[in-house]
Amino acid sequence: MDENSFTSEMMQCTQMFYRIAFTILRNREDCLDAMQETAFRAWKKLGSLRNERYFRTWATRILINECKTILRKRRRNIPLEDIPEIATEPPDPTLALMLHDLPEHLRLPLVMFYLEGMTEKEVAYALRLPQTTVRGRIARAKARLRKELEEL
Amino acid sequence: MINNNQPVNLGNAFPPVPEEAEKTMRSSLAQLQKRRRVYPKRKFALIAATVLITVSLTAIAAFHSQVAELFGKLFGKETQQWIEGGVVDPDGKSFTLAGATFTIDECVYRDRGLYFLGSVRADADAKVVILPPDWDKQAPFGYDIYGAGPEAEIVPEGAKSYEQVAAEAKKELAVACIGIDKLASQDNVLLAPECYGTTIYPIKDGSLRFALEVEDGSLIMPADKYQVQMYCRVGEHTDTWDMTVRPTIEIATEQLVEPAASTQTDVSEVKEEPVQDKPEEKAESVVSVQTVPVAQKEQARETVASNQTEEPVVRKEQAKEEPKSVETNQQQASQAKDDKEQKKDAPAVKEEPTPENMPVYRAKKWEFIEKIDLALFNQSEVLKDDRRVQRNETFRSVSYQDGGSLEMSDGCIDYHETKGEWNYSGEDNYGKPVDNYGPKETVANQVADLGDWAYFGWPGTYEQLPLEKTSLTYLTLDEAKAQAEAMLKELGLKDFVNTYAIDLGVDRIHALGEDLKACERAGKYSTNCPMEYDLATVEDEGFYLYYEQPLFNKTELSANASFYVTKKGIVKVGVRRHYEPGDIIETPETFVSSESVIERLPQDMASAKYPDKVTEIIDTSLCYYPLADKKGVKLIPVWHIEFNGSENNHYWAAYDAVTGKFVDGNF
Repeated sequence: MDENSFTSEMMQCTQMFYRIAFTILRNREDCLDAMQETAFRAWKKLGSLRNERYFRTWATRILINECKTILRKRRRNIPLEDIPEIATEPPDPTLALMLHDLPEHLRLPLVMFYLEGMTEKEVAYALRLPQTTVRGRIARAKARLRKELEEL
Repeated sequence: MINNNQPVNLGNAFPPVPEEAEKTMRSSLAQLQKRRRVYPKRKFALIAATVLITVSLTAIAAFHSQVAELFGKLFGKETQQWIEGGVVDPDGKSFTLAGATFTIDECVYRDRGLYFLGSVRADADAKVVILPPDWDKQAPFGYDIYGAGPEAEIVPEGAKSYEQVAAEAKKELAVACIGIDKLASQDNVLLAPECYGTTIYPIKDGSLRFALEVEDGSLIMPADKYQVQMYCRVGEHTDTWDMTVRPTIEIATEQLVEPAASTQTDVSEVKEEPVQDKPEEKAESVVSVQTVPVAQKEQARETVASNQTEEPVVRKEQAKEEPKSVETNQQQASQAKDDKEQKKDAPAVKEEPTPENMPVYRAKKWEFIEKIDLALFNQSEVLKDDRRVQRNETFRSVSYQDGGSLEMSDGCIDYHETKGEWNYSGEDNYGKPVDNYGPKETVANQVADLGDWAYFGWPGTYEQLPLEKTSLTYLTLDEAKAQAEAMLKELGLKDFVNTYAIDLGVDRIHALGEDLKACERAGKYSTNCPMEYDLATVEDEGFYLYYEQPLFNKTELSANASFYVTKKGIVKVGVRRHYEPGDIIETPETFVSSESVIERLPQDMASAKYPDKVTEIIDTSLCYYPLADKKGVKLIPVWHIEFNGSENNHYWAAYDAVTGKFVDGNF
């Protein structure tokens, strides 16, 4: 993959990257940092992409690692409650709250599958999990959200 | 999505993506030139060890399984119960590497999956204190504060950090990790699984606990034993969590550790190799697992199935058709003409696949990289011809004098043409424009991208655009296909069928180009590549053509090729094809009926790890599936069923067309 194709592919992933980063970090500045570092790291590691077909999931995996790195640094340096909350309210704050109450290992596959339109296989690649595990997590996330919604 | 009565838009849980996101990405990408791509000179302490794990006949119900318990904590009670239905090898096996002992405590097999539990422990006299990958040296020693394991732990006041513990003990910090590289059932050839999951976290005594799970129907089938090639690494800890070079250590794969409890690899078996400066993170080791035919599992399937009586709906009228030619008659005619030639080399495309014309083949890797005729793509002078090998895969990159570029890797060919430079300009973090020049795709190549979008789904509508004309100013569809098919033939891809074509005349190019720009303005499409569609002339007119290999396009074997053909010739090519049929292993006498496997499907679905109902059969077709065996990979004929489950979950399943046995599926 040359630089042009790489740039094009990365730009097409921008919105998805932001939302996935937001699913983990919930903070605009951190999301932007994660995206920036992802662009550099992905370029640096491009040689490890074995099949361009999997670019999106490969790059998402790098993004998730970057988010986790930021999260770790944040946990080390700043108490979680001190993280500034979202500047712009989501259209459905209640749903946002419910979604973010889900543990990350359920929330992330749910968002990747339903919001970003990734297939279970792509989610599995990106999260390095067997596909059946991904399915189970999505099912459990849905069940938890459904229950919360029904109790509203 | 969440509730059938009340659809929920998850997007509403997120604030709008800020403009800064795109700016950040653009400015980061604009700075790529400054951050030249380099292959990291990491030096790992590597190990390649073979450990034989025997899964005994012990039914897990009679045995307290640590694997089931941990997976239960990690992923829920249902996962625990599911694993408890498997078979277990409770004997521990271990091997050492760079002062750390890796132990596989237990392994469970169930239904296309293997689940491991183990630990990594620094030896008492070792000079290292180990921590998990991506862990911070300031993190408290022995506490899973990030919840990588079952739950995040609360750290007591005064807990020492890894850094402090290492300093006090006058030891180095070392990162340890373990993963699965390849595996095999019984004595089959070791092959890489599609993916696997790893969980690794620290525990109080300073050791690390890990869990591994891998599922792959191509490789993991009921067997007496499994071999798993693992890679284990112990590397120096740095502030950036990178690992630096250490001597490579290998244990020869034939030196199997005996399948006895707590067997430890003798250090004398470890072969030290010179420090390697290889760019790739080569780190291999082998584990073997033994198992037994799981009669109990089959019984369970039957039991569960008996409770499920609903018949799936077979959506005959909406069933997807086998890929057919854009102009079926024409294709059939040319196909018939080619059939005689193809018979000996590859499975020809037949209207009705039968056992006679669908034998079991030995899969051959498509070897083309060294044999390829470079002039096939471009007749101008070759300026550069580079090769590199990474993780056993060969990459070859060819640049032609007139701007053509040919990239090849195992199973993949990409050819495109460039002319001049393009400023992929962006902005830095302060909004200042940044120049970033690179080769610019020719207008015809930019137009070829329209063809890609037209085939895969136009931005915004995601619909495929139709063929409108079979004749352009200087080119007809037949002429374009003849060129593409001649190239396919030269590449040895005789059994590819044209399944899509779109005419890109100059008016349509202009119209689609404008539409794509509108999509970009509306945020439905994003690129910083040139979009000079308004510069297109009749010279850039052409046909975008897509080819598939019908018997190989349903499964992991997926083989396809795309071309953009203009008056000038083929200006853009993309080919994907990993295996080709080799020698015939056997010709089946008969196939089971598709009805018989569809009948069985609800049973298998009901007894899956995450059971579901079969609500609708979408498509049933005969095709090939790759299955590992002792000699490598064979291509077996399977019934490939696509179907829906509850809540419109989409699934597929592959059944051996000869035996009717379930082979693999995404459930």
